[in-house]
Amino acid sequence: MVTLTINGKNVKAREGATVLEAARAAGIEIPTLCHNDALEPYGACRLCIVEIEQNGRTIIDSSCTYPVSDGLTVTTDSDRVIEGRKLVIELLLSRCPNVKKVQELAQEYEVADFAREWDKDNEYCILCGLCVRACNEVVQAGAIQFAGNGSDRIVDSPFHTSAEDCIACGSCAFVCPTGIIKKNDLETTAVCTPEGTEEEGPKREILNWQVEYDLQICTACGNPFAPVIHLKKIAEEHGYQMEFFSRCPSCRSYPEIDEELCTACNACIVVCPVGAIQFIEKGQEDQTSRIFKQNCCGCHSCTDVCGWGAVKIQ
Amino acid sequence: MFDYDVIVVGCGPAGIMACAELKKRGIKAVGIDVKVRLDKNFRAAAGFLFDEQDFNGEFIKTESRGDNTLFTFTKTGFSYLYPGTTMPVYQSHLISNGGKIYTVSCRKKPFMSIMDPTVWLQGLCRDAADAGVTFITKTIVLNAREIPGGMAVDIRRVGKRKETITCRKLIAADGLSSRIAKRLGMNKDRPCMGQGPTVEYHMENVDTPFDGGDVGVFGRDNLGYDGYILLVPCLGKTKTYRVETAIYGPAVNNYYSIEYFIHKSRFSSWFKNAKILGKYAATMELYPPMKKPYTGNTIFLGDSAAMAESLYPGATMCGYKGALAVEKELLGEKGFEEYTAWWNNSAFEMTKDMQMMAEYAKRFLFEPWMGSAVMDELFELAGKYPFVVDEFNGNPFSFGNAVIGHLQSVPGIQPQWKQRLEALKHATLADFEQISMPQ
Repeated sequence: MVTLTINGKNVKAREGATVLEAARAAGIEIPTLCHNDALEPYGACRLCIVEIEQNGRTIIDSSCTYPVSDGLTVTTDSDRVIEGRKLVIELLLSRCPNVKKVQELAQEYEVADFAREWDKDNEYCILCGLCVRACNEVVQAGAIQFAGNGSDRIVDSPFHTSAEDCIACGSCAFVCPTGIIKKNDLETTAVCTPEGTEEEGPKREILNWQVEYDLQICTACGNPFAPVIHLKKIAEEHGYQMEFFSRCPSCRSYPEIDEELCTACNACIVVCPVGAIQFIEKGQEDQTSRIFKQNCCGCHSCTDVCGWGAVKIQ
Repeated sequence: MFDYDVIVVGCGPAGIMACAELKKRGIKAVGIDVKVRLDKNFRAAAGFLFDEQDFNGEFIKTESRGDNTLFTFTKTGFSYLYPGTTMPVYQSHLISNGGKIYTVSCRKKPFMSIMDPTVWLQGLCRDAADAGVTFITKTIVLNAREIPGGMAVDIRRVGKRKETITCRKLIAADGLSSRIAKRLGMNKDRPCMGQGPTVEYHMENVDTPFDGGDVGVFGRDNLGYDGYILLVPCLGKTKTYRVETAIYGPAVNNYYSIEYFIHKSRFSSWFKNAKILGKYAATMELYPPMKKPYTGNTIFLGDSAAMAESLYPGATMCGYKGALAVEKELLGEKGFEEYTAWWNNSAFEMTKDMQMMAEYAKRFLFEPWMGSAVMDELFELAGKYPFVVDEFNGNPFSFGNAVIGHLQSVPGIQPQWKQRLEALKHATLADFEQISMPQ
């Protein structure tokens, strides 16, 4: 453990933690835009700057990227820090005056909207990189990336065409602080053509990356719950069959096998569409089936075929 | 490049035989099975064989050698030393809803022989162990797919994550409702003809009034549900039977029915001193047999490609033939096509002609075809003129029609029953679909 001082308060933090983590754990709030606990620190927005004193030298640095060390003295609300933050917000506001989150910050730090006096740049993306990092680090799809340099820098799908690797999971839309990523779940629509009426959907579209994918429909409740392509990726990575995703998470209930009644007849194993039931040893020489819940899709095929009534729903 | 030359999915009689034969020929083969132990039978309805008569395109000769029995598969050309004895069955009994008994008996040549499936598996396992075959047990095969030059097989060991292993040729011997057949799309043009479970009690000290022979019990009054229960004699100390069910409706009805039959029906006195030695069950999905039992680098053996009723000898024979086919295929010859020719021309009558399946199942269809009341009267009448022959001339397929022929010749039979029986004689599978079948 490492001991440091934040705003005059002694704080203990684990080794390798960042100043931001240590401060938040101690209940000291530092504003951020580009930080997410699930992602690696990036230091794009510079909103989390703090004053750090070590060995008699004082510097201003972003707390989300600065690692803690013994004897560090951190001030999160000194005049220099507030002034720096105001500058950051001012620049953000001039780029993205219509983003609600930025407006809120401006109000909190009493930053005047100078940009309103000039021609407004109606940009929404603050280039925090959360969507790009979520796509690469968490989802590991690598569908979107930064493109261009300097003032032309944008987040985009490759070659500004439909993102081939996108699985429409919606993580980018979920993490985006500005709400610029447009993810829509479309209901079933009837498309009328001279040949006849065709039903389409339900679908999910993400307009920014120009993708549109079918949604999986729950076999129990009939509601769409996730894109088929997304489920296929999970199935491939974790060794599931696609049947595993036939029901939505809220419609699943897991059966259990009464090992006293089980005669190891193999019937449930044969019908299980995902191979979630396997034999285990029962005593010295005998065997019994068991449902491995991590693989169970909750379809209840096994309860229907058990001739002994040994498979019961909890 | 490939993990194995050959992967055998499913280690029943066909799978173990195939593994052992391949290993003897110097091919690196591995058997994968979900079971914990391979030398024990867990399947119901598996303890009999038709020897010394034509069945499954084979004529099996039985030769007793002390405690062992040598089965010679005369047409396929190999033999298997079964480390046990067999028991001949000379009688067959049918019991109607009202408790009327009808008996068919042969004096000289048995209808069929009873063997112990567990001992059969033990013999095969011993041969495989002698050959040095490796088996992966407690492992389920989730999927199989074609890759260039071979097959990739997704497996999961108990409680572990999915792994992928590769092989040059895949043998699917995973029985009825084969997962491999399903995954490789072989069931696309095979309409499911019926599905259902059977449960089985293995019991000793069953005091039936019969001197051996199998007993088929019909009727709602006897069983509590529609369907039938079959008592098959089996090897054991005293009056040992396997009591098998085939009941309509939800699977668990089979269990309720067998309990009703043993404890509450008019035959419960048979089971007063009985002791349950084991409980077994199986579920089956019946598909029409494959016309081409291979695809790409995969070959299908036994019940995975047939409709059902390969039985232990048929599966063992398929294991042998399949191993030969795979060996040829690995040498660059057309082994799979030869296997297909054998499959379609000489083996498994039921693969060629679906009508055979109807003939085979005919004696269990008297009740739904004729109706319970007619059955009672018919059996009462026929009881006075028992059907006894010296030697039953034919094979299991002609049995149903022979019984019908006898019933028709019983004096005093009403003309409309005679007509109905005549119709049953010529009934096709489509006719049976109209009357509800338990399986």
